[in-house]
Amino acid sequence: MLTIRQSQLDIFSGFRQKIWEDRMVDIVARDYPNRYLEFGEPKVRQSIQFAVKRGGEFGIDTETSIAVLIELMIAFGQEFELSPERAWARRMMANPAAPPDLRLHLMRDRMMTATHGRPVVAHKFPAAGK
Amino acid sequence: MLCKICNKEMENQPATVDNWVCKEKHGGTQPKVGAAVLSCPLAKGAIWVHVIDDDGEDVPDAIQATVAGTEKSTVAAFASWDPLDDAKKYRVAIGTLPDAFLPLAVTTAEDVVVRKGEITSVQFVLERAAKMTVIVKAGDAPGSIEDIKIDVAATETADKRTGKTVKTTGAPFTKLRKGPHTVTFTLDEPQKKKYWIDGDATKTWNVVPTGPNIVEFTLQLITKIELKFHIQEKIPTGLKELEGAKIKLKEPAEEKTAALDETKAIAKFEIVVASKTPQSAVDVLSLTPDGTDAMYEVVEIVSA
Repeated sequence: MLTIRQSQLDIFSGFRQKIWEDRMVDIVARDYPNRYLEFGEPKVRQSIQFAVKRGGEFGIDTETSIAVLIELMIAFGQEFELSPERAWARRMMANPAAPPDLRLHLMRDRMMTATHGRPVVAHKFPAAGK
Repeated sequence: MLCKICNKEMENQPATVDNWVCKEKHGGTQPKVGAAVLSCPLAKGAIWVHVIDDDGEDVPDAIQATVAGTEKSTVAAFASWDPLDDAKKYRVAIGTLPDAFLPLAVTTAEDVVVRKGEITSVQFVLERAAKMTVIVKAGDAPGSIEDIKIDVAATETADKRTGKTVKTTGAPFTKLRKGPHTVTFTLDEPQKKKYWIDGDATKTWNVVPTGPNIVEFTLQLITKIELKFHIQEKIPTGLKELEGAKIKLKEPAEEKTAALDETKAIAKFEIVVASKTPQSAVDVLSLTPDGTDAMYEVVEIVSA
């Protein structure tokens, strides 16, 4: 009988996670090319890993829901700080009563309606004294 | 396995594990990540003006802002100019702020870039103005002593203010930045003669925009005690007024000479008491000439 040990399962899980992360990087590069160029791949990867970690804190751990969370963070900032709906979105994300996919679906619908699907980019003021 | 985008059968191209790849070419209206499907993003860009306070909270007040010559008011902290032509740079200016905020150092954003299919958010961070009232109390009496000089200096900026207390209401300071401030009061010469400082003359106060920021100091009235010693010498025939005798106190360390006051040799002291504890006794350190039969008695204590 073939026995798969936990350590082997962990390796397998790591492979799957890497493949999923690569796919997410590709999606960001395709759907948000300006943001991808601005961030560069390492920062996009960091953002993806941040979304996974942050989502995990709120019980958001399915591939679909995390994918939407990544998109919202790319479009509105890691704390949704660029969205007029950020206060509501933060509450919705932390709402344990709704399943994660539903939470993210509602968040995406509401936050993207205001922008017609466009990401929000913060204008950078020049540093004082320059 | 079906593709989440086009719902067609995908091809498995395993490297180490399953790797499902869709062979279809998806068009420009691909759905985004996740379940919801949106229409194509608008081709044009836009500018949002977003006004927040220094705590990161939206400013609900209507603030005027101008983009490309068009003035709008913020609603729930946002104002939108949408759509705008991309490949152009815009000047974004914020209008006069309500009194509750400090004037902005930078009121315009120049060369704001608008890119196709993106919203450029120009965020103005407003500082809420704080007020402070400094009260200098006389003991437990309500209100403030008037005409006391107050200095308020921000610890983290160069902001320095000077004011004077007004009877009852104290000294008001407005449009202060939040953060630690040093508050000091200074007594002039007549005030120094009238009051003693009960506690510190300088305090550090962390100014918060939401708070009343009432800084209180306490002064106490100086008490003066007039003390008279009647000094006599015992002689065989009775008592003799000992004019010229000297009496020295321990605290305050003062020595006075007895002089004739009508028919009595009197040494007068004026003792200043700057303490909440009432003084009921003084120690006599010496009486000169010593070794005689000189004697004294306290004849009068007047407290003012």
